[in-house]
Amino acid sequence: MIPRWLSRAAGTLLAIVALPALAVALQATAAPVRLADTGLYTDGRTETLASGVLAYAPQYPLWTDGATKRRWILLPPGASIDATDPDRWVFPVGTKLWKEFSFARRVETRFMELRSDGEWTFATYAWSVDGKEATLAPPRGSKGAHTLADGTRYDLPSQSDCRACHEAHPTRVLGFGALQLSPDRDPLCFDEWDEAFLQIVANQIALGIERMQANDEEPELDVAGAASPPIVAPARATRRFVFYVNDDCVFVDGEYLVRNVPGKILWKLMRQLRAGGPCEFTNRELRLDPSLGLPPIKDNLESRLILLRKRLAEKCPDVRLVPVRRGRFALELDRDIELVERASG
Amino acid sequence: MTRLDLYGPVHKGLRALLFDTAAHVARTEFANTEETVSALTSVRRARRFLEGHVEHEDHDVMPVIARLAPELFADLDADHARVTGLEQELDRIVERLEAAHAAERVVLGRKLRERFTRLVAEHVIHMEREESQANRVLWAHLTDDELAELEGKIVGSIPADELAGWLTLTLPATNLGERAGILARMSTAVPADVIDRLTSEARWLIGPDGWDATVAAVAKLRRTESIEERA
Repeated sequence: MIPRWLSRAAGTLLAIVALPALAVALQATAAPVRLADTGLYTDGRTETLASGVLAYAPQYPLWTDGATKRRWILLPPGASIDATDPDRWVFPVGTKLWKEFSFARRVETRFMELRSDGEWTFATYAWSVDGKEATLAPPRGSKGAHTLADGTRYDLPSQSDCRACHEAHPTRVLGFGALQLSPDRDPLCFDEWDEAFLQIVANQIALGIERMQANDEEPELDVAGAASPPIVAPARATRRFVFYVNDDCVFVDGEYLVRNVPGKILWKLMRQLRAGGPCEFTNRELRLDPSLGLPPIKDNLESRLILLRKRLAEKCPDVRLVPVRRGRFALELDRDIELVERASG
Repeated sequence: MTRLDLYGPVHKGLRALLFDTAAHVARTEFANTEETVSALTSVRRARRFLEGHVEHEDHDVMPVIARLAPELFADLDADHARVTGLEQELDRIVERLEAAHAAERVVLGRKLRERFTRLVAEHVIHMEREESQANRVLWAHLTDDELAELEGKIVGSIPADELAGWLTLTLPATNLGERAGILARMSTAVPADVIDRLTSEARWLIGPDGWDATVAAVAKLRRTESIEERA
C-alpha cells in the first residue's frame, strides 16, 4: 500500500511539475479566445490589418451559401514558402491563414496556424452582431449561428469539420497553391459577379417553382362544385431500382429516374445502405470516390445532389436525401428497396 | 414480347447507306472527274437522308425524350451537336471538291474519306445509344399504340417522294419480320395502290422471291392481329 504521505507528495509534485507543463502544451496548441489576438489586426482592433498580412483570392472559390469571402495569409518575418513541388507547397512554422465569411455583415472568420510540432491549429470565430468583436466558437461548432435572408440557417463548422476538409489535402492549406493563385487566370472561371448573378436567377426560378406548386396544390372543382376525390396509387411493398451499368441509368418501378453521375451516386448510397453501412454520407466521401467520376475541379456535386433529391421527390418520395448539416446528408427510406444491376437493355 | 422499335428499322437503313457510301468514297480515284462526281452524288444523298432523319427526330421524338428523361435528352442532343459540326465540315469539303482541279481533288478526296469515316463512326455510336438507351425509356413510358401513333405522325409528315426514298433505304436493310411490320402498319393508313407505288424501287432491290415472302408475312401478321382483336 502506498503511504499517504507519499501519495500526497506525488500529488503535489504533479501539481508543481506536470500540470503547468500540460497547461503550457495546451496553450501552445489552443487558439486565442479573441480573433483580435490571432495577429490579423493591428493593436487588437478589428478593422485595420496588421503589417505583413496579405490578402489573396483563389481562382476557383467554393460556394458557401452566397457568402462574401475575404482571405489573408501571414508568414513569419523573413520566412518563405518552399514551392519546389508545385502540388505540395511547404509552409514555414508560424504561418497563419484567415478566411472571413460575410452575409451583409461579418459572421465568421476561420483561422489556421502551423505550430512548431508540425501540426495545424484550426479555429472558428463568431462575430458579434454589432461587428465589433469575434470570439472563439465552441469546438463542436455552432448550429444555426446565423439566419440568411432566405430563412436558411447557417452553421459554424466544428473543428472536426475543419479537419475533415483540410486534412484531405497534403499541405492542409486549401485555396492557396500554384493553380489557385496562378496569375494566368482561367477566363471561364466563375467570379463573384457570376455567382451573384446565378443566385439571382436561381432565386427567381425557385420563386417561380414555389408559385407553380402553390397553383398545383389548389384543388380543382368539378362541375358540381365539389372537389374530385384524389387518385391514390396502390401502395407497393417494395421499390424496385434497376441500375444499368453501361450508361449509369437508374429506373425505379419500371420508370426512368436519373442517369450519369447522379445515378451512380444514388446507386452507391443505396448499395452501401443495403450492405448495412451508415445512412449518413458526406459530400467529401463522394468527392473522394473515383468510381463516381467527378472532375477534380468544379465537380458540381451540390447541383447533382439537388437534381437527385428533386427527382426522388417526384418519382419515389419514400426514398429521400435529407440534408443533415453542411456537407452531410442522410438517405431515408420509408419502403424496402430491391436493387437490381443490369449490363444493358 | 417484342416492342415497337421506332429507331431500329430506320437505323438499319441509315447504317447500310453510310457503310455503302463510305465504301464508295474509299474506292474513288479523285483524280478522275467522273468517279469524283459519282462519289459526291453518293455523299450528298447520304447527307440528305441524315438531315431528314435528324429533322424528324428533333421535331417528334426528342421532345418526348426531354419530357421523360431530361439527362438522356441532354446527352443525345450533345451527340447531335457534334455530328452536325462534322456534317458541316463535310459539306465544306464537298463544295471545295466541286470547284477543285485534279491535283487538289486527290488531297481533298483523302480529307473527305477521313471526315466521312469519322461521321459514320459517330452516327453508329449515336444510333446504338438511341436504340438501347432511348428505346429503354420510350418502352418504359409509352405503350406500343402510343409509339405507333408517334411513328404515324412522323411518316405522315413526309412527302410521298421522300417517303419512297426512305422505304427504298429501309425495307431492303431490314429482316422479314421488321419489313412485314412496317408494311402492315402502313397499310392501316395508306391505300394498297399507293403502297405499291411507294415501294416500287424497294421491291426491285429486294427481288421477287424476297417480296413474295414479305407479302405473305404481312398477310400472316394481319390474320394474327385480326384474331387477337376478335379475342
